Parts: sequence; structure tokens; C-alpha cells
Amino acid sequence: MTTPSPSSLPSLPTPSTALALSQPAPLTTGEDPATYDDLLARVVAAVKPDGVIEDLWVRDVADDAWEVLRLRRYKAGYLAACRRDGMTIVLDGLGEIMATRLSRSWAAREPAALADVRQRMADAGLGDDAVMGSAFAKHINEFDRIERLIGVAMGRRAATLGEIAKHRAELAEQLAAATQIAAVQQTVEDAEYTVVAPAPGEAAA
Amino acid sequence: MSGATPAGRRTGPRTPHGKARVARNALRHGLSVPVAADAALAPEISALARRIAGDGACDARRDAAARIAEAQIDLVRIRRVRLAVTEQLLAGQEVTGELVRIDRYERRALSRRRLAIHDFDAAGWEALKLKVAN
Repeated sequence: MTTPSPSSLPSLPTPSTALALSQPAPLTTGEDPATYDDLLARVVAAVKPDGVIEDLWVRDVADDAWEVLRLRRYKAGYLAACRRDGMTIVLDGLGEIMATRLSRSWAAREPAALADVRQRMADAGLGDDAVMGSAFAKHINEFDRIERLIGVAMGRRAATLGEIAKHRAELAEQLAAATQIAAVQQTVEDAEYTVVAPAPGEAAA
Repeated sequence: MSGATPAGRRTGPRTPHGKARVARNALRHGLSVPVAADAALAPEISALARRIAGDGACDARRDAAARIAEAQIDLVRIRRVRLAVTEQLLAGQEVTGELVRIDRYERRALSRRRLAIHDFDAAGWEALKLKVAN
């Protein structure tokens, strides 16, 4: 992801936002702080937090979104790293006695092994999906755990957004109710101070 | 055999696996200690609580703000640990179970914060009604 130009970024956080956002970015080794800042700025621009509590929520939403991206990246990287296992399974299924050795050479991109494997796969009518699928099936428990962590982070993010919406709705309701109370009181006060015109007989007396 | 060594002379686990297991125990115990018990975090908690409550807040609102701040600082602490464990995950260590356990701590802290925010808003509403009534 590229870093957007300053002009494309939303305005800087307000002071209260800065308080909640002052915690260090939740970055692991190799992650780009500018990309995280961009994500955070976009979340701030979309949610437009009002007050310290909303600032806390906004930071939660950004951090959870960042974690989902990280775990998805990790899942893709893990699958790529497991390709050799998948190839071993495929070659084994094709009757190759030295499946482990051949798949190791294939993973090391040795030209002879690449050509050999390509030919065997073509003869068997198999593609890359067979390799990736076999790798996925072999490590299904690990992928399941990563998926669960992604689900947890997504659930947290959805819950936080729900909290923001609920908080704002309740605040609006309270303000409306307070306005109504104030209006009723004003009516009562006005009624108390209404000047009543004297009756015709009373005026003369 | 391990029982044969007097307690005072035991030096703890020696294998990398044993050391890693003990490190995780310490981590778990670290998170189970309430943030309020950590004197080093007290200034951070009270600064955040003051900021949340704002000027002229009533006692109930100040109280709720303190609970929000406490839960928030706990969340920051939990997330720091989670980040460290995530680093281990990315380094190829099997720590997904640990992450699931950390998530339980986080959910509890989030629940405490949610309740405190609810009380904070409710106290604000009561204060607003009083103000309007007067």
C-alpha cells in the first residue's frame, strides 16, 4: 500500500483524539507505520469521533482492522510456505517413491525438478490448486486457528462499531428528552406568569 | 526424581520448552493482576479518568470515568502482551492457544469498559435532568 499524500489525508485528530490515539501503533516487525497511520486516519475520518470515549473506540476499530489484515497476510504467507508439503502429497499420490526429496528440490526451484514436476502434473491433469489444496488440508488445524483469530478480531470490530452507534443514538434520545422537559417547564412557567385581564366589574372596583 | 531436590536448590526448567512454558505462566499471571494494583499505572489511569470526566463532573460520573480509565489501561496492557505473542506467532511458534487465552482477558476488560461507559452516560443523563429541572 502506498502512503497517501498529506492533502488526501483527513484533517489531523483533535486534541481529545490525540489522547486516545497516543498509544504506540500495534506494529509487529516489518510492518509499515505509515500504512497504519493511513488506516487510522481513514477510520477517524469515517467515524468522526466526538469526545474521549469515542476516541477510544475509534482506536479499537483501527487496531482490530489492522489485526485482521495482518492475520490474513499471515495466512497467505503460511499457505505459500506449506506448498512443499502439498507437493509431497500430490507426488506421493502419483506414485513417486522419492516424493519428499523431489518436492524439496522443486521448492528450491531446481530447474530439473521444476521440469520433472511440471511434466508429471500435466500428465495427471493436475494444477496448482491440487498442491495448494493438499497443503491446506494437511495444515487445516493451523488455518482453522488463524481463521478463528480473524473471526474474533472482526467480531470485536463489529461490536465496537455497534457500541458507537448505540452510544450516539442514546445521546440523541437523551438530548431530545431533555429538550422536551425544558419545553414543558417553559410552558408551565409561562402559564404561571400569564397576566389575566380583570373582569369588567373588578376593574371599576 | 525432581521431588528429590530441595525446593530452595531448584533452578527451574532447563529445556527451552520448559522455559517457554514458565514464561507463559508468568505472562498469564501478569495479566490476571488488576491494573489498580500496579502503582506504576496509577498516574496514567487518573490522568485518563480526569480527561474522560471533564470539568465539573458529579461524583457518579467521576466514579464511572475512573472505571473506564482503569479498563482502558488494562486493555492497553493486554494488547501489548498480545502484540508480543503475535510476534512469536509470526516467528513460527505455536502460540495461537495463547492468543485465544489473551482474547479472553481482552473480552473481560472490554466488558468492564462497556459497563462503565453505560454508567457514565447514565450519570450524565441524571445530571442533565437535574440541571433542566432546576
